[in-house]
Amino acid sequence: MILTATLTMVGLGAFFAIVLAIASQKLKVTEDPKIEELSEALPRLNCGACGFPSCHEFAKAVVEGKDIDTTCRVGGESAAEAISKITGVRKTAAKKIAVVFCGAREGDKTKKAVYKGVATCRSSNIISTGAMNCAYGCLGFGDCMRACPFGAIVMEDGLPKIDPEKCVACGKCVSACPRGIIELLPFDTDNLVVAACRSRDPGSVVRKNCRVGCIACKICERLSGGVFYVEDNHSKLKTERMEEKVDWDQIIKKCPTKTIVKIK
Amino acid sequence: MNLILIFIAAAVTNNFVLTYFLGICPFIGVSNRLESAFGMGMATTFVMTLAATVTWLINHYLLIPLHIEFLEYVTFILTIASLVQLVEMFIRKTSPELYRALGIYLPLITTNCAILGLTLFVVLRNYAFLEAVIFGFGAGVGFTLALVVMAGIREELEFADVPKPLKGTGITLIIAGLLALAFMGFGGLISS
Repeated sequence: MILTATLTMVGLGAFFAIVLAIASQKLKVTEDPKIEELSEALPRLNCGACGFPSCHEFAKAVVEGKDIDTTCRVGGESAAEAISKITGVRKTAAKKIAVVFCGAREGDKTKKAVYKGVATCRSSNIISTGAMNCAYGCLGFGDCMRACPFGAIVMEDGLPKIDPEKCVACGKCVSACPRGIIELLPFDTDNLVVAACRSRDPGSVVRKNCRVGCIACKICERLSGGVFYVEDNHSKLKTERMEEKVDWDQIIKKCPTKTIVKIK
Repeated sequence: MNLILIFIAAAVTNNFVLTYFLGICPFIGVSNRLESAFGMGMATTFVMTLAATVTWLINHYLLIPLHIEFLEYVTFILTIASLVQLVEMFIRKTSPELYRALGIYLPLITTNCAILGLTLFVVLRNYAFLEAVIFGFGAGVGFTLALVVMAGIREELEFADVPKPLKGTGITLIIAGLLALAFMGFGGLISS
């Protein structure tokens, strides 16, 4: 009985294996070898920064000469080299970095409850917008850290810290953050100074909720000549005017709540 | 007459998805666009018909004569997996578009319980060869029907104002339930 059973299974398995082997020869799909070659040179992390679901798809689009942005932010020199071989154009991507628009560390923000649920930002955010009084700030459970394929984010005092060396601006953390407070900003300018707060609450409420929240006092707007501007009760940065000559240090010093921080 | 009854029963009155609740995974996963739903339905129909045919042959000419019917699950799964591989290669060769649209759901036909359920039903109900083939084909058509109806509804639903907590899978499952209720209406078509 055991022998029959074993032999039957072996026989069947072998039969299907042979059929499949023949079929795979007959139905072979020939792909442009360039695609495979380029695909090898790409980082193969499938991070999606280029807008394609995988490095392979991106390589295919490049080889087929589709009208796309043919830069791989992650691959660096070797990828740029490989891509330029096919497109004939040498392009390097503008360096960008993910910036967290909240500066409140553990202790800076007041809490309305103790959250003991699943330790992710997403679940915490679902329950009446988190345990702290501020409905806009960082929840501190590190969903962005876990989403980062490059290990560029570490959590420090309940706030993500982004390593500019490792960050390639793939945007995974941007979509992972349930608060939507991570944004990709250009990093090849001389200075990168932002107002790290996204609170839409009026200043009086922010004062109660958070030690470092923006109270929309407009001092930065005045000092920077409009590079910073106040909208929705918080200060925003006009990224297209970042290159202008502004006394950034002065602004950082004068901000009464120390909301404005220097990234670079 | 019997063959027609088996076909209608498998396709409509005892629809695999909406009456037996088999194969819910692709039913939810691939039913967001009409085109890929139809492609998935066709692929599954193909696999189902072939699976019913091949497993019937294996069962009657190998397992029963050798008295090793207890191997039926293992051999059936092996057969289905191989057939799916074959279909996958075939689709990749003939229609790369469909191959990309089906994505992960294509290899998942392997673990589609509707197909394993089908082959086991064939054994359970003692179908003759031709009956088994028709049953497999009917089940595939029924699966396609359910998938296409669902995809049609979901495409329309794109523009509907769905309450936020029900968006996505939630509303899909509710529609699936309503569809199942509607299909119960076919129950009186065949009395057996």
